[in-house]
Amino acid sequence: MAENPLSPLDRPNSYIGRSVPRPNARRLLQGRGQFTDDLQPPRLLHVAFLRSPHAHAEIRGIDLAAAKAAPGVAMLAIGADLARICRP
Amino acid sequence: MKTVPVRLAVNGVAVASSVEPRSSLVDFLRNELGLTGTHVGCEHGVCGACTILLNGDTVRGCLILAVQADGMAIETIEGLSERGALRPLQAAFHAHNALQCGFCTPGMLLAAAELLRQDPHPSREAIRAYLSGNYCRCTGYHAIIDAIEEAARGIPPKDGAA
Repeated sequence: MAENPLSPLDRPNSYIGRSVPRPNARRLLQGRGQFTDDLQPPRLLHVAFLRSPHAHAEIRGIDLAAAKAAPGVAMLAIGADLARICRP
Repeated sequence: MKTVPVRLAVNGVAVASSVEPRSSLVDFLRNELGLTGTHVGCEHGVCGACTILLNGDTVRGCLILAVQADGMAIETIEGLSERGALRPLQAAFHAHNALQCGFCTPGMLLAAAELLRQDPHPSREAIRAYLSGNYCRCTGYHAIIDAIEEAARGIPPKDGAA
């Protein structure tokens, strides 16, 4: 008969055996979540990768002059710059 | 860059703006209007995270350009939530824990609402079929289908139904 000697009155705050609705689900259900791509921190910069338009080619040189002169460019990094901080 | 003037109604509010011709509608809604409840997942019409209502029909926000929406009425998860259009579905999703991260949820809700408008009492198979264009990558589909079934049970049967 008494399989479970404890009633919910004995443990009113227990999650055991209960379906627990998540408090943050309501926000997510209204489209009010804050995912990384939803955030706009001050001084946010964007990164753009320029890849070779050629499937198989030898790099003879990279001319950065026009990119450096473009307004709003904060930093340019080519292979040689990355080689100083990480290996391929 | 050259921009094109557009006028549209977003969640009942008239919006006049200027957009790049290449800008997708979802990017316009998120970046220009700050309506970040509509999400960008695959950017090629597969995942359904960017689902919005365009003149009342669900469309992929990533497959339509902002300039194409000129003169149209758009509703997003924010507007639909505020006017209570999704309340029974949202309550059922909450009760069934039909979400984890919540990224796909706005699209799921819009698709489910459109299904229930067309067929107030769909079978589980019909629900599955209707959600085939909305991907969930964490919680799985069972709870979502349970929730939509429960929301459908709360809808009174159509006139003439036994």
